[in-house]
Amino acid sequence: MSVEAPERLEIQEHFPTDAEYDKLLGKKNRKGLIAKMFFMAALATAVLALAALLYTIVNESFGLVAQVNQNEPEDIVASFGYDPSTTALADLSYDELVESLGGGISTNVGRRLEREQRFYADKLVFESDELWAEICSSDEPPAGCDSSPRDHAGVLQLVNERIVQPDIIAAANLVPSLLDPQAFEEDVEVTFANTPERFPDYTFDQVQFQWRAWLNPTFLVTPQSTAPETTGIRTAILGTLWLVIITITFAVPVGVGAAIYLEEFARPSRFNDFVQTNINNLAGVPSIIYGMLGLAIFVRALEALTSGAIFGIEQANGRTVLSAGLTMGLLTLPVVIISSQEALRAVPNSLRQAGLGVGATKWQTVRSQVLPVAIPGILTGVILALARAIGETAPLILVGAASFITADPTGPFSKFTALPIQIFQWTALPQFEWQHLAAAASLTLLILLLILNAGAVILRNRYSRRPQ
Amino acid sequence: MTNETTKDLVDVSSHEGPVETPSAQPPALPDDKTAVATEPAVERDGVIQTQNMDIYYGSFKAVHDVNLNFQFNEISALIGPSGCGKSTVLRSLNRMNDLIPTARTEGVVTYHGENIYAPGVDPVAVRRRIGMVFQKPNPFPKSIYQNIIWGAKINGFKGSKAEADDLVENALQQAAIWDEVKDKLQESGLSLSGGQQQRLCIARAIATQPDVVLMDEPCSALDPIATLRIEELMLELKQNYSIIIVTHNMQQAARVSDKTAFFNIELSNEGQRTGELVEFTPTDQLFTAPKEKATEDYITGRFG
Amino acid sequence: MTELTDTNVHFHQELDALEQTVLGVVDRAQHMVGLAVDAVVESDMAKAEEVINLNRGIDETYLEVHNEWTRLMALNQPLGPDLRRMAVLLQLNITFERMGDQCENIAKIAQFNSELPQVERIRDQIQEMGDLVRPMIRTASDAYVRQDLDEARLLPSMDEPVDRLNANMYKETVAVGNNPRLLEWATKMLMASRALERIGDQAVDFAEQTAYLITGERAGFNEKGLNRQGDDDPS
Repeated sequence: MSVEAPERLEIQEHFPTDAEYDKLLGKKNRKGLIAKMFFMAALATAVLALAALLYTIVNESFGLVAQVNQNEPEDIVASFGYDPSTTALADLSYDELVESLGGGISTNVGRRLEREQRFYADKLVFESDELWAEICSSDEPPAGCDSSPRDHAGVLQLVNERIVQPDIIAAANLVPSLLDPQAFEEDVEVTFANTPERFPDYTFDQVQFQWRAWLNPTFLVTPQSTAPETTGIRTAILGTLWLVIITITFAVPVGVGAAIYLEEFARPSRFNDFVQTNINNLAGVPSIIYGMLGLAIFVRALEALTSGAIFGIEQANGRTVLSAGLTMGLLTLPVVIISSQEALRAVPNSLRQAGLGVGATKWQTVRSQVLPVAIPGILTGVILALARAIGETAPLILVGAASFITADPTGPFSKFTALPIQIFQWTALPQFEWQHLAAAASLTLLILLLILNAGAVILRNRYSRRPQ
Repeated sequence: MTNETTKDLVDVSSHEGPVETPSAQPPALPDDKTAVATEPAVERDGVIQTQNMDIYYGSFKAVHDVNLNFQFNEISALIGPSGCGKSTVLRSLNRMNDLIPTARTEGVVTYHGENIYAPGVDPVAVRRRIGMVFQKPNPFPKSIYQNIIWGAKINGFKGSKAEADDLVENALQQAAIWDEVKDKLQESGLSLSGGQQQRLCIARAIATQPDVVLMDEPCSALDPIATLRIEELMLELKQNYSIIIVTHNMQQAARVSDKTAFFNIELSNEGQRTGELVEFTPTDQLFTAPKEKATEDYITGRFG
Repeated sequence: MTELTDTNVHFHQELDALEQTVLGVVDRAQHMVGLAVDAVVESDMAKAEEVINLNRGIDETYLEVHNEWTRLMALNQPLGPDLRRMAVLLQLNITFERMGDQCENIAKIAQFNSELPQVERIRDQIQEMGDLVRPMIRTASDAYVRQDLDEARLLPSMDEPVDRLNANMYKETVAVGNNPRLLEWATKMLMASRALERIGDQAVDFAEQTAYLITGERAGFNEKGLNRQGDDDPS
């Protein structure tokens, strides 16, 4: 004891005095504060970036437009004897719409439209019966020969496109429209006055200034068209949904299955380590590579399957939504496998021991005890995969998503387009309207993503909260 | 208790010799007390016997030459310092060690005279007959009812709903937890306290009708009162089951067990630490007058 | 085996201290036997007084040991050799306290007998018993300290002459004759002899405890054919 005391004192000398310690404490706390500030700044940067993204998209999706109609919808409605103030163009009956369309276009255009898709199942509007029979019995009959007739929305779009022929000659973003609507009108007026040669067909008096939501219900349910005023993204939305469904149906069972094998059944071996390393690396492979893979395997090598030929469906090639979905499935597979593995690894081992301890086989234990606990974690991986499948563009371009297509995808063997492709195409076009449309489509994509994710999150929460 | 378990057990043990009453003295040891019980010829055959059992993890020998003979309707305790392989030995008795990919057991482990490591023996069948209770209470995250019935169902229980209810009640009653949970059988097993969870785990283990229950430090996560309840329960269960328990708590081994095996770590020349059985003697003898110096040092707190 | 570390060192220190206290009592008892025999044989009242005082001290120590023993037992729950040592110490504490009481009995006999006539032969015999009993205590104590089983096993044979002398004491008392005062003295001497014989038995007990401590087996020494009697001798 007597030896210890002085030793302890000596060590004490290496420690700061109380005053020094107070100073040190202040310094330590300041350092902590600086670190904390840095982290907050990082978070603020992230939030700002997100806010800027949302601002840009929303800003371009809404705003004032200067629009000129070749024929006013009110006039068309009035020509059928309705009161334009209570009846809109869309309220007209199918027959009335077809009639107004017939009155406004040439017979040649009408024939072309009818060959694309006929108006009535039992009668022809523009074609003669004989000619119709003749072209339909030719070697290459047009699509209208055996497709179902157009619907109300389709004809309404045609009327808008061909008869009303709205032309948006200028558009403003949301914020300037709100802050100073007058300035926009004056700008347009000045433009008319200074450069009348840009608008040979109109006078300034014809211009209507009105609010336009580029993202509107019509936009969502209208098929694609070449006219920016009347185009829509129904085909793209349906294409994306088909894509997601095929991707998930492929990637989730395969991915979860692989994860279960690797986590629960595989014994450590060099081969399994090799597989594991490769899966981890695959998660970081650029998506364009997957696109090439998809092109080589699904579009080319497995064309018989992906084009539906072996199911008796006639299709020119394998550039179908199935090919794209399977490619996307491959792309998301590593994410699903890794996150499912994480989820399985997070299940306490004691649960497996408990299962095996009462004489269950490995699979019984995994199915009844381990998987239910892991499902919320697995769903997290599915959400990530979903987000990736919705947003990915590059592989779709490679496996051949059509950039312009008006027909809805009707099954896995359909040609298709998807929202990111649509956005990509539109942003590449020079006219200003397409930029606003691309913004509206981006907003749609974001909302769609939110809805699908919310669905998965709700499912996950239901599983993790369920007492079972 | 007039349940299946009891009948089953009587059947099983009747061709193995008379069943000892719980209060009966541990079997007489051979006069020569110098060696660990290695001579089955002198000793009665037990429910589980190990002969020259070595356990390896990869090339590392974890346990060396273990010869044990666990008797019917007795509680046997395995004690020893950390790393002496007592848990390894316990887990090798129902082939739970098979789950560790590198683990390998050599020698013979018999259950009712049959080598459970013989080729063709499915470990799943072994575990059904030799139940296990773990260190941390680990009920399934399901209802109390499901916790009990699942084990029976996966083992092919074909009874009606009413018979299933009986099975659940019987198991819970044997585990002395029925009164506490009978009104909330559909609630999650995780809603119970730690001690109750552990008794639920015991009920789950005995619901598959085993006749041996292995317990791996079953009370180490419990408070003293819950511990005493489990110990009380073990003494109760002894009438129908053989219990083998690993414990760090020597007082616990002393309180509940009939026989105690002491394992120690043998340091080889290469510095490998291999577990060895030092002695397996009636508990009262081991804790008052152990035969081996190593045991004596361990139970008086001298360790090296 | 490598060097052992005592992870229970505090308990073992306290147990050693308790043991020292208990063994201190037997040293005092041994000393008291000498004093008490002297007091009887020499009618030395001062020595008788000293014995009675010393025994008071033993009684106090007895209680102290008992309390300390209970405390250690409650806090440490010893096992194995430690448990045996605790058990032995509890037993020895009682045995030594009784030895002290026997010495006090002899001292009190000395106080009452000082005025009575005496017989030399009987007095010599008491002296001889005292001289036999004291080495017994010494030997038992040494056997304990050295943990020497062989030494402990000497005790029954050392006790034999004491038993014989005690048995002989009856004859001597009868032989005193009809003188009532002499008879009274002789009877008192018979009681002193019996007390010494009891102390001898207690020394044998002590050795038995030592043997148990060493071997872990409870075995009375009388089983070995070395007769140990006295208490229940009816004659």
